[in-house]
Amino acid sequence: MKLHDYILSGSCYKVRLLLNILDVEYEKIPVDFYPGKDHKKPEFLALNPLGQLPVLEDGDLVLRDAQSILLYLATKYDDANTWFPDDAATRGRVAMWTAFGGGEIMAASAARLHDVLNYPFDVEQQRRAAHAAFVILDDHLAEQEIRGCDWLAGDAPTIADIACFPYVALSEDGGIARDEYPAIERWLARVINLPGFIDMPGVLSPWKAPV
Amino acid sequence: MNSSESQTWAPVSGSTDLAAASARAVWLADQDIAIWRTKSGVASAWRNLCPHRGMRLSFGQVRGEKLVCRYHGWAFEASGQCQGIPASPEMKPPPTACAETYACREALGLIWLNTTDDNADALSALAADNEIAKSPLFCKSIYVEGTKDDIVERLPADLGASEIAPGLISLSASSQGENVLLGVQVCSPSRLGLHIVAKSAADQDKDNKRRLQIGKWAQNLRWQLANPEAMK
Amino acid sequence: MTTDIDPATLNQWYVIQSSDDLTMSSPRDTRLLGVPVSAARRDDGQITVLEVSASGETVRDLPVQERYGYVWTTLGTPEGDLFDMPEFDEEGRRLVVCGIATVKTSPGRIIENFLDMPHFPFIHIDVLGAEPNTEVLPYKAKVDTDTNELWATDCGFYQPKAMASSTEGSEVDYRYRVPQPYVAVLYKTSPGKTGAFDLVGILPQPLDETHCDIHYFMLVFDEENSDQELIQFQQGILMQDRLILENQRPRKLPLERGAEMAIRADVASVQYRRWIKDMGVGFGVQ
Repeated sequence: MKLHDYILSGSCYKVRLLLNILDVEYEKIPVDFYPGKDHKKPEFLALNPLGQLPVLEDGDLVLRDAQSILLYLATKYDDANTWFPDDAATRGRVAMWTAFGGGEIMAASAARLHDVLNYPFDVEQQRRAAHAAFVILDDHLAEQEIRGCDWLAGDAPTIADIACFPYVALSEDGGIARDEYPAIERWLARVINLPGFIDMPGVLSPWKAPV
Repeated sequence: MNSSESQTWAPVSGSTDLAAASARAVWLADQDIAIWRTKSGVASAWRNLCPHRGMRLSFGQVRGEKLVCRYHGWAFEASGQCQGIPASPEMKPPPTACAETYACREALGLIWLNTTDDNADALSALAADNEIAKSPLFCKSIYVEGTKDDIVERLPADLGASEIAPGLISLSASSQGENVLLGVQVCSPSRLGLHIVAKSAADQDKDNKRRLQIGKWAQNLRWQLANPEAMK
Repeated sequence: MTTDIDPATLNQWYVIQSSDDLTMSSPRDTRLLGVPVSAARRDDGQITVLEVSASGETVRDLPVQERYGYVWTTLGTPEGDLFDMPEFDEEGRRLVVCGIATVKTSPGRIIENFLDMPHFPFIHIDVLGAEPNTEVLPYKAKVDTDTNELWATDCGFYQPKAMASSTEGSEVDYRYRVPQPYVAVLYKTSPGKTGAFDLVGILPQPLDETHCDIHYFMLVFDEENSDQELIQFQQGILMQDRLILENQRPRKLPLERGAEMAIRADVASVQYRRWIKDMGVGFGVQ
């Protein structure tokens, strides 16, 4: 299995995170996202015409889109079948929040790309959109907690949590503070404490020491 | 900080919104404040600044009864005093290695802080007569644009809002027509936090149901306050 | 306005772009010390750098030189030439340019963070340091009065993964060099060649007093790793520092003694603050 990867990409990190949690071996192929912009060049476009990372190759299968890759990995490599369970209603909820992670949450990614790498976005608009998404996420997580559920789609973590985690955790990189979202903060801590969790630069994980 | 704001107790969070062994930032009159809770449950509010190199302490990690600064691992206990400096483990940290602390108490299901005075009586007097004070149930916090001077008028008239103490608004009707309290936090000159507290039924299932209902009502109130034209 | 900037800050060379990234089809419109500047590579390969007005009109031509893989310019009149890095002429060396990271803080905070070792086990966990190996043993920091450069020497630290090419933990020797107020280079034990040092350089371009484009590079002996493995390693480290840098207050570097606390492990930063204060640096400090 090969992952076309860039260390600072939150979308690639979604895949790296689930791969580590599921303990699946793979080869990382570093792509010169910045400063080289190799993901926009013909050699890479042959692999993914959208010119985006991540791309997963597993045998003959080539997949783009972090959310789709998460779904594939959970279906193929999760023997316990908890990361994308069979139950129809749960699947619906997982799909809904996974789409949110690849959709509305990505405004936080845009703000980050603007602030760090000078992408020409309307950053104030992106920040507003990110905050609007975070309000919805915080409201939902608070309600879930009252219902006795610690995770987006139910009482167990699913690919929806993986899809939403990185750009929420990295929001400060794009000037989006989380002081108004205490339920999000508690959920981030739960994700960080999952067995097999790995971090990425900008994600604050716990240190190794007795608490 | 405006003097009238600094003399009073100000709510900054629901108590249950500051988990044990966690830290986060809150804003009060544009002041950056770190609130944190030890593993055993003690809540503190400090100026959000490490005395070493100015790192915001809200990014720190709580280890047991100490807040550990994210930058160099300086470990501060609840009194504000630094107890350990990892770069020099044999050194006893000097008294100057100390966070700037504020008075911090919990009442009415909320965390309150006071930057000038630790007057416990003044805090307990705030809503002493109110039914909710006897058994408070924190429900939710919402954040809205606005100032404390006109928030009462902006609230929908059918809620029967009245300010019963500085920073505390009583609503005689919320959802299902019950009384709730709003703790008002002035985050900045143009932004408010409203911390919603209802009366506990002393029954876990009933309280959870109530928190869900009031949560939904609060989301609607937040929308109404952000869309005043639609309310006319 | 350049007239508002103190001479110590003004009369320095600053990087505004890497040589490879300033091509004929990619000019650079940016700011230096709050002043709009515009850089372009002409048909003949030479570079023009202009100070421009707020409305985009040319104010004047600025001096320019290409050195060490970068385009340098100045708004003032630097004394002498750019500092020397003879390692660039060594055979077998690889220069790896890592791009630009934009950070909302002052250039002084950036340099100080670069000189700081005590944060390794807390920010660059399991890479440049790890608990419980947090102690920073005494080291030396002083200004070389002949060259007017600040050096921190005899620095050592145990690092689980010192460079991209490291496959195991090692005791690493560090030397830090600050050849001008807002440039720093570190020399660390090279895993790729015994007895040699690898260089990591940080070249903040102050857009304004509390907003910088950080240019950074490595000059290494390494025949194993691809450019991307080296670049992404360094970019990861910088992003970890960025979270700290953007959350220090005040953003400007405090130069008054006693404004912030220092312990023995902070001697490099104490010397740095004293040195730039004595020089009269007023930009990005308070």
